[in-house]
Amino acid sequence: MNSDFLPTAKPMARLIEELHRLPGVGPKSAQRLAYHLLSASEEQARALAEAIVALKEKIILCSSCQNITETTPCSICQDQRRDRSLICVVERPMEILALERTRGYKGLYHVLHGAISPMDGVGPEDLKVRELLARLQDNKVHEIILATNPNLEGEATTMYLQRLITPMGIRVTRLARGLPFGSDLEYADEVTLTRALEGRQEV
Amino acid sequence: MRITHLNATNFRNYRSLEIDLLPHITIIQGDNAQGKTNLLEAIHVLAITRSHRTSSEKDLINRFALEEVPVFSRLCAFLTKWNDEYKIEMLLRLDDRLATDSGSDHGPASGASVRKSVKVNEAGRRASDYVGFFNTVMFSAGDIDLVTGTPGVCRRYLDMVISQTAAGYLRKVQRYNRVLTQRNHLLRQMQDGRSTPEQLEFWDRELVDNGSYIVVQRRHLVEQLNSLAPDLHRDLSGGVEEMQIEYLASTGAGDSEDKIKTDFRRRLEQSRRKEVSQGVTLTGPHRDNLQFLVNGTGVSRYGSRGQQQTVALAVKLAEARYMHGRAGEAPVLLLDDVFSELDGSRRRHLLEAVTSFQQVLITTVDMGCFTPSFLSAASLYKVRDGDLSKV
Repeated sequence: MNSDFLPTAKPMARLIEELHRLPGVGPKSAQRLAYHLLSASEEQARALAEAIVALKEKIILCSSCQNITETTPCSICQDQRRDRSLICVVERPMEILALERTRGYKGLYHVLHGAISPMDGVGPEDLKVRELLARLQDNKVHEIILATNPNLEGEATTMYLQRLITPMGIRVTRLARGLPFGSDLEYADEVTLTRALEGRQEV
Repeated sequence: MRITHLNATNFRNYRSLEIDLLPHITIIQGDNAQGKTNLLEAIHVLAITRSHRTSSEKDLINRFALEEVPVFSRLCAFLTKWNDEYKIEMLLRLDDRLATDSGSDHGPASGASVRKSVKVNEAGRRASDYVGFFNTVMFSAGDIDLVTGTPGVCRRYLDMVISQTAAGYLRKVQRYNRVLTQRNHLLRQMQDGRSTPEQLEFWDRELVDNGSYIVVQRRHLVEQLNSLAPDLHRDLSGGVEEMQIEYLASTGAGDSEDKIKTDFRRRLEQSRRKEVSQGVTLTGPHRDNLQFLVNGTGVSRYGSRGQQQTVALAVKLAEARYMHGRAGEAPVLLLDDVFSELDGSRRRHLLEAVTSFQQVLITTVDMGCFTPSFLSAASLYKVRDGDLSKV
C-alpha cells in the first residue's frame, strides 16, 4: 500500500505503514489499529512500544537448545526434573509451545530454526545442526525425536539428520503420521489415510 | 451423465446466465465474441475446476464485477449421474485484502489472490478430490496444438485427462513439481560447491517415487488411447490411414512401477555430472513427450494440416470413449466451433460419432454446418453479447 496519498498526519501514516508490513495485517486493519492506538492512553502506547523494543533487545538464543530465551541456558534446559537422555528436534520455537501444551513430554528440545529447502537457499549448514551434534558428544542422550513438519522440506531435514545421527548409536525416531484425533475417517484425505494404514499399530 | 440446469453469475462476459439443458444435442449459435466459448468453458471449469484457456483465474470473473464488492464469480449446475441428481457449485472470490496487499504496484488483484471453493450438494469439497466427479471432454480449434505444439501441451493434456480418472494423481504431480524445483536449486548450489552430493539423496528418492507413478499413469492412458483412436481415425480419414500414439518417456523402459523406478534411478546416476554442470534435472516425466504417427511417419512434422486435425480429433474422441468406459457413463461433450474447419466427410463422421453420447453441446457461427435432420433433433439457442435466447 502506498500511503503517500493518505490524507492524514505524518506520524499516523508512518505507523499505518509499519503495521501494514506485519504478516496478516492488511491496510484496513493497519488503519484501525493505528487509530485505536491514537485514542489509547499514553501508558498503553508506551507499554506496547517498550514490549517491542524489549523483544529485540532481550531475546537471545539458548546456548544449548537454541530456543528463544532471556537467560541462557533457558528454563527448560535448566529444569533438573526433565529427562536429559531425550531430545526432541523441532523447526521453530513456536513448536515447543505446542509440544509443551501436551504436558506429556518431559525431555529436552532442540530448535533448528528452519528446514532444508534448496529453493530458499537453506542447507544443513544454515540450520542449528552443528549445535545439535555438539550436544550428543557426552553420550548422555539415548534418543532423538525428529518432530519436523510433515512436508517435503521437513522430510528432507529428517532424512539428513537420521543419516547423521544413527551411526552414533543413538536411537532416532520421528512423530507418527496419521489421523487427527477427534475427526472422522471419511473426511481424511488419501495421503493421510495411506500413512495411517502404513503406521498401524497392534491394539 | 448430463447437466440439466446451468447457472452462471459474473462468469466471463455473462453477468447472469440461466439455462435448462436437455439431453442429446444442443446447438448454440452466435457471432464471434458473443460468449459461445465462455458458455462451454463454464461447464468445463465446473468439471476440472480450472480453465483450459487461462491460468489466471481472475480472468474468469466478469470485468464489471471486478468493480463491485464482493468480487466474485459463481458457477452452479444440476448434474444427473446414475439417475441421481447433484448440485455442483464453484465459487471464485477475489480476496480483497490479499489483493491490495500483493498488488500495490500493479493495481488491485494479482492472479494468486483468487480463492476457489467447490461444493457438491452444499458440502465443501477439496478441489483435488473433486476433480473427476463430473466428466466432460472439450473439443476446440486449439486441439490441433496437441499434435503440432510443444511437449508441454502434451504433458498438460495427459495430466488433465488422468487427473479426472485417477484420484491422487494431481497431488503426485504437484509434489513432483516441488521436488523438481528443490532439486534444480540444489544442483545449481552443487555447481558452485555450496552443497554436497549426499544432499541429493532425499530429492532423488522423491523424484523417482513420485515420477514413476506419473509415468505409469501416463503410459496406461496412452495405451488406452491407442486401443481406441486408430479405429476412430480410420473412420474419419476414410479408412486409408493408420495412426498411432507413441509415448516418449524420458525415463525410458519398464512396464511395472518397480522397473520404471530402477530405470529412472539408473538414468539419474548416469546423468549426474551433466545435471550438475547444467544445473537442471535432465530426466523424468517433466521431459515426457508424445509423438503422433500416421502410417509410421511423424504427423507433427510431415503431416498436412488436415491430417493433423484428423489425428487430434481422433485422440479427443478416443478420450471421450475412454472416459465413458472408465466412469461407466458418458461424459458431457463440449464442441467449441470445431465444424467450420472440417471438410464435409469429416464433419459427417464427427457428427455421427458424437450423437451416441448422452449430452453434447455444440457452438457454431454458421448453422449451415449441420444438416436439416440433425438440426431438427437438436435444441437451438442463440447468444448475443452475453445474452442467451432459445430459437
